[in-house]
Parts: sequence; structure tokens; C-alpha cells
Amino acid sequence: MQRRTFLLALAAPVLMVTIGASTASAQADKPIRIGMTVSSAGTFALAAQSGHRGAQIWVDDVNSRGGIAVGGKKRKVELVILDDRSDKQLVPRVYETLIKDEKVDLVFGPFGSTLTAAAANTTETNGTFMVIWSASADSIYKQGYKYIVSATQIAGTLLGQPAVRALHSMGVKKVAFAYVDEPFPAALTQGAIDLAKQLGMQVTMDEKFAKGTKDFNILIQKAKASGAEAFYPTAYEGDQMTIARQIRETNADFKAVYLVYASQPQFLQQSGKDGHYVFSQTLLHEKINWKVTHGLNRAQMVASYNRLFPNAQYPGDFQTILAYGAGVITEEMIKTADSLDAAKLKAAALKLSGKIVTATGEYQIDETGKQYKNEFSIMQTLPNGLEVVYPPAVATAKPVYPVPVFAKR
Amino acid sequence: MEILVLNGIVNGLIVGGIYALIGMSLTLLYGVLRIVNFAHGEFVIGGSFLAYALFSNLGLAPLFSLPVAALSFFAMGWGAYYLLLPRLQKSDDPEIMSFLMMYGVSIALAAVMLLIFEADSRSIDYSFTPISMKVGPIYVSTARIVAFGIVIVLAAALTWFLFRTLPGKALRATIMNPEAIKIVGVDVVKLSAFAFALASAIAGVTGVLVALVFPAFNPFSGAEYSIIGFIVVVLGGLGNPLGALLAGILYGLAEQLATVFLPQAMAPIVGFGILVAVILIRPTGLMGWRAQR
Repeated sequence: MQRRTFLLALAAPVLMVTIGASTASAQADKPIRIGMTVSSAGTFALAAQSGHRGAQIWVDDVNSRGGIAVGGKKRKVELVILDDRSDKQLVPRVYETLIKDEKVDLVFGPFGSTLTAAAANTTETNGTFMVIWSASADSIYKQGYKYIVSATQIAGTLLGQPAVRALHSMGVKKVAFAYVDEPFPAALTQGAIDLAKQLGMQVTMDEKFAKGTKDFNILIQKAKASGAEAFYPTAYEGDQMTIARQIRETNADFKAVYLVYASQPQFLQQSGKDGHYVFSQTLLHEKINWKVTHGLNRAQMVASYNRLFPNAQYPGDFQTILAYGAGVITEEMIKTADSLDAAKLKAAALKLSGKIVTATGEYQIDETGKQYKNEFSIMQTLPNGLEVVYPPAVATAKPVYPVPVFAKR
Repeated sequence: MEILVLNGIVNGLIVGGIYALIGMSLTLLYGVLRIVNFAHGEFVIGGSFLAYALFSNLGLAPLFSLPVAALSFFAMGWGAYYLLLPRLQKSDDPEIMSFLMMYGVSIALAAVMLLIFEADSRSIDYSFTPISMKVGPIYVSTARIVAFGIVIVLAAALTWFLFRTLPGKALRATIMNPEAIKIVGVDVVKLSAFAFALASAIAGVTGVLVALVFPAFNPFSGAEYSIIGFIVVVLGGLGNPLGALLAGILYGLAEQLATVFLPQAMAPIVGFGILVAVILIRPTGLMGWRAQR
């Protein structure tokens, strides 16, 4: 079987021309074809499919407005989707198929840093512009790629910084950091520590723990003994549930505790009182409403989600809004460039930096395409529910700081 | 620093007690049946999920889940023994075959739990009142104190059973010399089924305690407890329940105290270091005996 036939056979079951093409009338210009891979199976399947729905919401919206003007003519948008099966070995070949066989005009990245890093080499070699919506690894932006832009996903080392700014604005001067020894938490924590030091805060503890650690009692005690006012341990959701419980059990009365996943529905549901007054971050919540300059606002996007995907297994999440926001920014790039040429799109992306606010947040990149804004909003879990406490532009309540001691809750 | 050390000792005893229970049930299985139960961690997490399900659906507090876990896991263990193991004992190398089979069982059990409870971490939103107690200068979680009390009672009961009752003595005799116990007319099959059921029951009860002490668990947490169980078994001496008790507490203390003086990431290294040292100095483990084969 020839290579091309093999790849097409591989992709055939999920090859979907999702929206737009069928409705394009004969007299209209050919659609703008945007390639994207979505994982039908494997580790990234849920997140990739969630992001795919966000991209579809944008395509639905842009096509309902007649498409995007290029060269004075409006062209509708067509998403060309192939399956990457969460496989970083497969991704480069599938992106090559999108570019060479499907002849897409530009591409959206796959889900996550692992797959995006694998795809970037191919898109760059072929001179194809790639809009990244979910890759946070800083290393991707250090490769000297010319035609990539992270439209919405903030870089890993910057992900934890809004929380530090929020804590600083509350008056926290001493912070204890801890993190599970894995790339994402390590990058997030390192960025947070760097910023804390820049802001003149004292880092009283910087300690990593091994994956699989089940008991955090001593770690919590060490953070407390270090004199920290705020405790900033970063790990995945399960570990953070344990940490929240053990902070309460050991009566460790920090003035503030920040747990990155504490506003996720699963955490809120499982942790109960353990999560009260904890600070966390998210992108999509009914109370996070950016004053958008482009695209649908949060409520409109969620309404579109419910209309387009009434049978979706899960409600939209932050992957959905990341991909949706990336679509909105792509639209503005194409309009500004008035072209689908990769170099012109990159120039337009830089020109638009700092001038767009989508439902996801603010857009700001540097020459490497790395995203600096679009920060997650800081939430605080109050006994009556979540409130947005930072940044001030979207805050719905003032933070409760210092948080009440356990004895008085 | 004194408070941190005191915390390390108290937590080391409590966490070590949980490790000891895992090791005791695992070593009982190995001693009597020569089964390397790689699915033991899944049995433990199965107990945690049972407590979670009873609490979520019926509002049953975890302490009331203990007898339910003990009885249901005993029954499941008894059934699983007759389903899986008699044929295995006839193979040329039962130990290797049991390892392979129980590895498969561990994957299957994790998949079943995944199917029922999904991949997200679960936690029982239950706390004792008061949630913690002041022991001297430190706060200790009430759940941990309760769990430690149960560990002591279970360990004492198991020791009494093994050393003071006829079936217990028969189990020990099987560990020491399986051929001799057959000669004196003991029904080894029934005794083995009982050992498997007993070990399963202890694993189920341990799972309930795990849910109290380490609040978050998911269908894939089992492998970590299997590894801890094997460390404790080897450290204490293969097939010796009392050795497992001692080794579990020693391992827990080492892990917790290492965290006090070293970065937390070093704690597993210290634990494994002790294991390697014991194997080098005393290959039969802390309380290992050289059984006749």
C-alpha cells in the first residue's frame, strides 16, 4: 500500500469536513481550509475533542457571518480533521497529509505540548502557519520556529504567575512552594517563584516531592514552620485533594492556600469543606466574563456549545474556550494579513498583539509566538460558591484574606 | 524542629501501620500459597471504593464500612481462590505463574473500577468531629488516630489468631513446612482458601483505612500499594506476618522522618535504601526464617 493511500485509509474513519463546505454555494469562493488533528483515542482524547468543539463553535459563528474577507471576497471556513490517536509518532505524518494531500491553508495545533511539539517541525518545514491553542511548554517557542503562534494558551512558566500577582496584591509577603516532580508542575512553580522574587516576596520553601507521594503532613508542617503566610503546592487533582484535607486536619492556618485545580468541578464535588477559602485558577466559569473586543462572549459561546452539541458527554471546559478563542484570533489574523501566506499571518499576529480580548481573555505574544497574556483568572472557593477575585477586570468579589482560621470556620 | 520530628514519628507510626497491614496480608498469601499477588493493591483500593460507594449512596460512615468490607472481601477471596488458584498450584512453577496471572487480575480489576468509578480521583467527604486532636504540641487527624487504633487491634487479633488458635497454627505450619502439614492430614486446599479469603478481607479493611488516611484515590492507585506491600514483605522476611508488621512500621517511620530532614522527593530513596541494605546484610529479611522446602 502506498504511503498516501495508507494515511488516507488510516484517517478515513474520522475524516470529517465538519462545517461549511456543504453549504458553500457554487458562486462563492472556495473555503479557507484549516487542518487540525483530534485524538479519537488515547490519553489526550477527551481534551482534544473538547478543544475540537471549541473550534467548531468558532467555525459555526464565522460562517454564519458569511466567512472571512480575503482579497476583498468573503470566504467560508472549513475544518479538515484527521485523527492523531494521541500518538506523537503519528502526528508529523498526519500533519504532512493535511498539508500535502488535503492542501489546507493553515493548521490548528493538536492538543497539548507533546503532540504540538511533534507537529511543529512538520508545519514549519512545509512553511505552513500553525495556530496553537493548548501547548504550554516553553521549549516549543525556543526552537526558532517562524510560523507558530500560541493564540490562547499561556506558556507553562507563566501559568502560575497570576496567582502570585493575586497573592501579592492581597499583601502576602512570604510564600512556601512545593510541587510534584513532573514537567508541568515544575515549570509552573518555577515561573511563580521567579515572579514572587521579582515582586520582592520571600520564598520560604521551594521543595519538590516524588510522584506517588501519598502523605503530605510533614511537607505542610515544613511549609508552616518556614514562616510562610501563603502555601502554594502544585500537583495534580488527586494529590491536591489530599493536600487540602491534610492542611485542614493538621490545623495548618496559612493566611492563603493556592491549589491550581481547586476550582475544577470534580475537586469542588469531592473535597467539600476541605476546599473552602482555597484560591485556584480557571478560564471558563459563569462568573468569568471578559469584556470582549472580538468574537462571542462567554455566555454566547456556552449557548452555542449547548446548541451545537446537545448530546455532548461533558459541558464545555477550559479546553473548549481555549480553542474557541484561538479561532477568533485566527480570524483577526487572516483579516489583518488579508492573505493566507504564513509569513504575512505571522506579521499580522504580531501586529494584533495586545489589541484583542476574546472570551478566553487578553491576547499578547512575542516574536517567538509565545503567549504572555490570556491568563487564567484566580478564583476563591467561598462557602457559598466560587468567586473571581483576580484580575480586577473580571473580579466578582474581593478576596477573603487572611482566610478564617480553621477553629473559627 | 522538635515539633517536625515529633510529627514525623507520629505520622510514621500511623502510615507505617497501614503499610504493615498491607504487608501482613500479602505475606500471609505468599507464605501459605506461594502466590505473588500483584493485584493486592487493587484489592486495597477496592476496599477504598467500597467505602466511597457506601458513603456516597447510603451515607454510611467509613467506620461502618469496615465490617462490610471484611465480610464481602472474605467471601470474594474465598470464591476467587476456587476460581483461580487450585489449577495454578499444579503448574511447574506456581510462583511465576501466579505472578503473571495476578498481574492480569490487577489490570482487570483496575479496568473494572475505571468502568464503574471513572478515572477521576475520589475522596470521601467525611470527617470526624473534631477533625483533629492535639497530642502534646502537635495536631493529629482524628481519622489517623482511629485508623491507627484499628491497625493495632487488627494486628493483635491476627497475631493471636496465628499463635493461639489451631487454624492459625496450621497456617504458620504451612508457611514453615507445607509438605509436613499435608502428612499430618490437614486439608491444605481448604486452609489455602481460608488464607486467601483472610488476606483479601484484611486488604479490604485496609482499603477503608486508606480512604481515611490518604483521602484521594483512583482506580490506578492500586499498583503503588502493591509495591509498598512487596517492599514491606521483603524487608520483614518472606512469609512472616510479624516481620511485615515490624517492617511496615520501620518503612513508614523512615519515610516520614526522611521527609523532615531531607527534601520530600528523597523519602522513597531512603525507603528503598533501607530495603537494599537489609537484603545485603540479612537476605532473609528482618524476621525471615529459612523454611524447609
